[in-house]
Amino acid sequence: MGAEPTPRREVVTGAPAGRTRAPYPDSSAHDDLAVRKLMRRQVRTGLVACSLLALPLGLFPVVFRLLPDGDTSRGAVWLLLGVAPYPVLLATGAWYVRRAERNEGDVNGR
Amino acid sequence: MNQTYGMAGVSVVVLATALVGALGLRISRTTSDFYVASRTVAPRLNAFAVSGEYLSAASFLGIAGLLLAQGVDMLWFPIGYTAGFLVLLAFVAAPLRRSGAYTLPDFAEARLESRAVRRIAGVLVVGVGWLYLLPQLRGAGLTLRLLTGAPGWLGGLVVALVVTAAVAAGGMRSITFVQAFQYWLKLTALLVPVVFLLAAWHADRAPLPAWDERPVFHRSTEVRVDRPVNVTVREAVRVTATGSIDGHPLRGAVLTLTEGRHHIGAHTGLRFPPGAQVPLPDRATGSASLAPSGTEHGLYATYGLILATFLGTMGLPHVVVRFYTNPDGRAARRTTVIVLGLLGAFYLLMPLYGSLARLYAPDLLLTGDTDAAVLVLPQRLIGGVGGDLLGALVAGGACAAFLSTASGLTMSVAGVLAQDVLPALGLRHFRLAVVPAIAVPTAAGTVVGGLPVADAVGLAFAVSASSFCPLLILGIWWRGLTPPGAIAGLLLGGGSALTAVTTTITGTTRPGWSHTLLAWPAVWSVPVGFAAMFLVSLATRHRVPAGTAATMARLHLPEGRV
Repeated sequence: MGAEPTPRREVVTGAPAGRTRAPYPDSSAHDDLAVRKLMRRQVRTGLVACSLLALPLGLFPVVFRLLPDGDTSRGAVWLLLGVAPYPVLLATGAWYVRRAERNEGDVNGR
Repeated sequence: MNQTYGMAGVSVVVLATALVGALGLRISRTTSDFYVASRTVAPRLNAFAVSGEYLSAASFLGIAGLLLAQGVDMLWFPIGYTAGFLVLLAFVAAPLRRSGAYTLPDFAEARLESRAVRRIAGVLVVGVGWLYLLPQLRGAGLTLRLLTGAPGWLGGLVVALVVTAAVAAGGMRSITFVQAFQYWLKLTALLVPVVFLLAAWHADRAPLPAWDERPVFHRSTEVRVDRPVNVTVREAVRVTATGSIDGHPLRGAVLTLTEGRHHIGAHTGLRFPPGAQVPLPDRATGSASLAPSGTEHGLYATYGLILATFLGTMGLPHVVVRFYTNPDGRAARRTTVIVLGLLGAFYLLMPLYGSLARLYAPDLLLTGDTDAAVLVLPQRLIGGVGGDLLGALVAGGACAAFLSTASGLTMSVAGVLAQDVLPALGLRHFRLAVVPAIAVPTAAGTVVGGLPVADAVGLAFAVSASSFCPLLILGIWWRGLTPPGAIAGLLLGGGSALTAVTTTITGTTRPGWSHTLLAWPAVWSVPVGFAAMFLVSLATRHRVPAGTAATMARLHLPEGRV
């Protein structure tokens, strides 16, 4: 790409005083539809992320009560509760951010 | 716990906090700066600050103490503390930032265009904030008592004074730097000692702790009982005692504690031989934990804990406020993900400390000071100057824990008091609001009895989960929310949880289902909150705010799209 032939005009606005709110988006029917679609997508992504977390974790208390006594069970419980959740939470979070940003990118119509 | 080294560690932390805070003071001058750091905080710095603020005394001291006392079930606390951020990320982070509000009451008013909702949300924010502050101040009291023998209330008072000064002087900007610094301090304060502790444990032939049976004194241990306690001895043991047992005064006498109940008087020292079983106190004395134990409604309590922590994080005042310091919604999400990683790194250390405490500090079960587990381990296991230094490091970290969370909470509570209680806006009034924000929990702490720190914090989560979770989830994702609906949900969900929790704190309930239901209200109060908000909103459909469609667009559309 060559050098820019003419200087670009930039509009600089000052730092907002008090509450900052983005300007109201155009509330035409078309945009409203886009918003609803985006919201549906984001809710779905959010629910997937949380059920990846909630379902296994939610079942653990019941499952653990049913486990037989013994050293291997105890070791497994310590690992599953003390170590395993954190990398899983981080990975799920990272996945969610990627998906959510992609959902938004679709709205922007890239 | 060596007193001089400990005090030195604490002083270093307090001075460093003041110093880093003063750096921030030079930059914060306008009201906007003061409240929300002018939205110029980068995601990574903000993530450090969120994590630093979030890791309170409950995380630093409380979890290891609960693990020591109750075993592996207590790991649900740190899981919940972290998982709450995933729920926040998935449903709240970006839209909340885009709403443009500074605090939760702000969000309530912006979304619902109603001052009434704002006021009620404000009351609940102050309630949750105070509930969360109370155990921080008590953790401070405990640490100072261990370090200097000072009475418990003094530690809380000292923290209250330091926090007042820091918050009133620098507001949010200085707090950001301080919190970020304190995350690293807290992580280091636990990570460095655990390396040495594990080495010492390994050198000790790597014993495994006894979880199913009563804990055993691994080495000859001197136990100092400050308050009188009744214990049950299961296996006769020869001890050397100075003080009073069963009413008999003793001075260095060797006697056999027979099976059965014994009464140990105040200020008694007992030396137990290695291999002796730890006599456990009767439930009536000492601080009985609320936490799920194997026998009493354990499954219900575990789910109550899970619901409270997973759903309550999003409404915690000091968490919410810090999200507004992100430049936009996307940055808010990124901050949250980094926080997940930072918290995970910290909480991975907890099983180690819990197990080591079970092995080397089981006497804390006797004295009821289980929250002190992390503080005493270095001296117990390593001893000598090394143990003292590491102990000082840990004490410094504990100090950082309650200072940072207490500052963040005081900041948010003061903010709500200043905006909604003291009418005019302006710096001067904010500084005034700091006083009641911290004074009330400090005073309450002297009166209210002894729940373990992590339990008390769980109560704040329960109230937040019952009131702010429905408000945020329904407010952000449902167009049908109305002001009467929101009010109904906040009052019924939050109000019922708050009542249940306050009753539990005053310690007037007897063991049984009524006690369990009140101690872990989330299982019923969260559905109550959601149901009330939903049903009343449906019933008042005509009151849906006029600007809802536009508000939804603002919350969900990415910035830059007009």
